Amino acid sequence: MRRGKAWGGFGTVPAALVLLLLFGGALTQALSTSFEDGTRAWGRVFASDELFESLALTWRVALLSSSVAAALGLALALVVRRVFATFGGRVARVLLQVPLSMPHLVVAISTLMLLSQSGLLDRLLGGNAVPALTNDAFSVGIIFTYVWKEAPFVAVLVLSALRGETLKLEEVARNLGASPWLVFRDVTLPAALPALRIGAALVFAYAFGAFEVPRLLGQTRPSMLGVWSFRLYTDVDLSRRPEAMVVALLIFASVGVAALALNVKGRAR
Amino acid sequence: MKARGLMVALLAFVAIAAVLLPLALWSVAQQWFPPALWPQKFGLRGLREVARSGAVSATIASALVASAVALLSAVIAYPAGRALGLATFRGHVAMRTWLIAPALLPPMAAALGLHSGFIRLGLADTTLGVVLSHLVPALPYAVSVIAATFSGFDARYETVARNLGASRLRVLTAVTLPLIWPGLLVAVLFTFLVSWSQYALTLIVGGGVVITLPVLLFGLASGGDLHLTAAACVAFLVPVLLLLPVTARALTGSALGGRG
Repeated sequence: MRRGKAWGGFGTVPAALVLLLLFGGALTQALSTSFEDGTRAWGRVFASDELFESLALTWRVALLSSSVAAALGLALALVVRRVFATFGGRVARVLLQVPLSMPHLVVAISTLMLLSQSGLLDRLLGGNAVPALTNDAFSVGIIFTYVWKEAPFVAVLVLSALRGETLKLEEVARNLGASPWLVFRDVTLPAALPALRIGAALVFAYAFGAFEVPRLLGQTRPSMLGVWSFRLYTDVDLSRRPEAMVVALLIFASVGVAALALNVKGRAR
Repeated sequence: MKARGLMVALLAFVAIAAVLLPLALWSVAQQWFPPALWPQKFGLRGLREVARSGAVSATIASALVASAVALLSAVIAYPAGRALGLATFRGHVAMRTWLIAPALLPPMAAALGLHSGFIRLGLADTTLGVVLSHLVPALPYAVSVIAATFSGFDARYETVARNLGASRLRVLTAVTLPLIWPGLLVAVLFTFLVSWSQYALTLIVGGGVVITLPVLLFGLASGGDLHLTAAACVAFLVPVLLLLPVTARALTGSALGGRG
């Protein structure tokens, strides 16, 4: 099969080329547009007050969404795992798939109907009872949407990571007299950690570049980076387009750095 | 143990239903003024009116775009998935990363650059442009699902058929495809849904000219008519719910880099 070895990778060429053209093309275009008037667009973005407010908001929403989703997802996985083989456990595992298949836009709309000031929650509490939970400064609605959608996703990842070997190791630890807490800390958690890390990273990346969810549920200003870049891009003043590209590149760079940091940390272990 | 299992299932059900209930209620509510907890009158006004507010043409546009994306992705991803799954070449780990990484990036990182680039090529604000842009999130999933399928495939079946005198085409139709079609189908259905759910790329690359269901839906939602919005959501969710069993498995498998 020597010939097979030499030509084995040939099949990846079309897909690699399509992604290179589309993705590489988009990045090149964003870079060249951002430098259209020299460094003016970069200067204007970095001098604007909105940059730091928007960055702080975006980091906060992405960090909170991913860490809450990871913690809740781990808890969900542990609970479902205790009843894994029962009928109820099977039903619960099927139900976990529902939120993760829902489009973000639909979940954002449901959140609006649930948490807005004339929403179902407010009606349930008797009217005029809840503070602003959508289009609010803290972004409760955005974080709620991501956590509801992504915690089950993390749970499914953790559940599949904890199958097989881990069960036996836990039994060995118990038989050797380890307390439930020790079993969790020294056996279960280390086994779940890689899946937890991947899950959290995916949620972070997605929430960081979020668009439709904060566009529907976020406050007008400051807005998350994705919404801000779109606002700049569609500004009637066409000279703001290079600034939109700068913000889009910031999203790309931040997500890339976060992914790299995670990867490096993962390898250092 | 059994009772506890049912408790867990019930809690999961409540947590999901609590969020989806307002949507379901609004889609069939005829009259629902605050602070009433339950609609005053039920009826199909929302569903009837949403059909007149462009939902039919938006559904057709969505179905067309998503079908094109699914077929294109499958065709382009097939040889790549095969090569990666059989791991017959050096550097396949690096290649896998390159082909699957774009799925992890938020669409907003590429959307504006794509639109600007497409303006020069005459692809901006066109359906073809939208289809091409959807390949960025869709292709990685197709590659990953097909690669996972091929990693459980024994290429020696093909060698045997070849040695017995079958043509390449016949090997493909009589040996390879019958063995791998379930994976191929999952890839097609899954990329269909990736495209079906896509909002940011459609809005930006389609420039508001290509109106798919999510674009219509967002307009309705920010317009504030909750009857219409909920009704459009229901239409939007039909294929999502129908394909749930297939896609859920593919999603959780491919999220770990196609090892599923």
